[in-house]
Amino acid sequence: MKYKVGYTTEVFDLFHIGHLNILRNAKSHCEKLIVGVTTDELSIARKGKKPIIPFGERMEIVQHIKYVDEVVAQRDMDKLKAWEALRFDAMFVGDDWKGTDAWNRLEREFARLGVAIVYFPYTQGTSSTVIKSVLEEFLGERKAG
Amino acid sequence: MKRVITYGTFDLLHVGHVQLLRRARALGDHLTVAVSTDEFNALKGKQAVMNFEARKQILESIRYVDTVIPETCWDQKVADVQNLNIDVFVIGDDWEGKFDFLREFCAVVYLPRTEGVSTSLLKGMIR
Repeated sequence: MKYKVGYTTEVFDLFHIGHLNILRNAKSHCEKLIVGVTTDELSIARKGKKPIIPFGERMEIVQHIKYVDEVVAQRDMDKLKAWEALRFDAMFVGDDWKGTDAWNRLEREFARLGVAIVYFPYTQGTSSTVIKSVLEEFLGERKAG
Repeated sequence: MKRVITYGTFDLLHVGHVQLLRRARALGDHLTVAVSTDEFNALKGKQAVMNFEARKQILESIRYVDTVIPETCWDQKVADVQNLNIDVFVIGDDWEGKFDFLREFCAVVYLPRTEGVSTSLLKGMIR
């Protein structure tokens, strides 16, 4: 059975195949997929670094992906507040978060609201950090060569 | 049905790419994107950060793209235009004039590039 409205969030910096897999997978589980794109400010607050691609451009790229029905800005980590605004009945998260205190708590809180948390296998080796380091190595080699 | 085609590497997808694809698709009813293979890039002395399969899959997921085909050599364009019944060939205006020879087979449109966005610029920023 498909969920009616699904929600997932990400920074989506340097859009890559791992991002695409999450969106494709998420859309296959719901009729309408809402995607929260993390703002530059939140990314700095959470990870201590600004994404390479500015927020407006990251948001625009996600909007152009055919699995995505609606794009919103993720300004803070408060998923319950997001639910109040968006009223999704499932939230999709990478399984690297499974079992963490924060998500165990969210699972309980969302269960009361009838919202399912669905964990997706995290695609190894395709994060933006990996892409960035491949890029750095690649540019370094070029410089040397 | 009006068929449109464009060519490129589409490495590290950015807003400039998607805007070009959107405008290309708006010139007709069906958009084919020919994306350069890793072997063809090597031939050109270039190397993409993302491999062909990843670039292809990402392009296929963009709303405005109907079909993705591999670009394996410089001179496949005339054959593509003829075999796929292409009406319009589209490319960024950094190639202005370079593909006028295709006018014998279809319309050729050079679209203005989005200012300040390019893969090279992106790579420069990361460096």
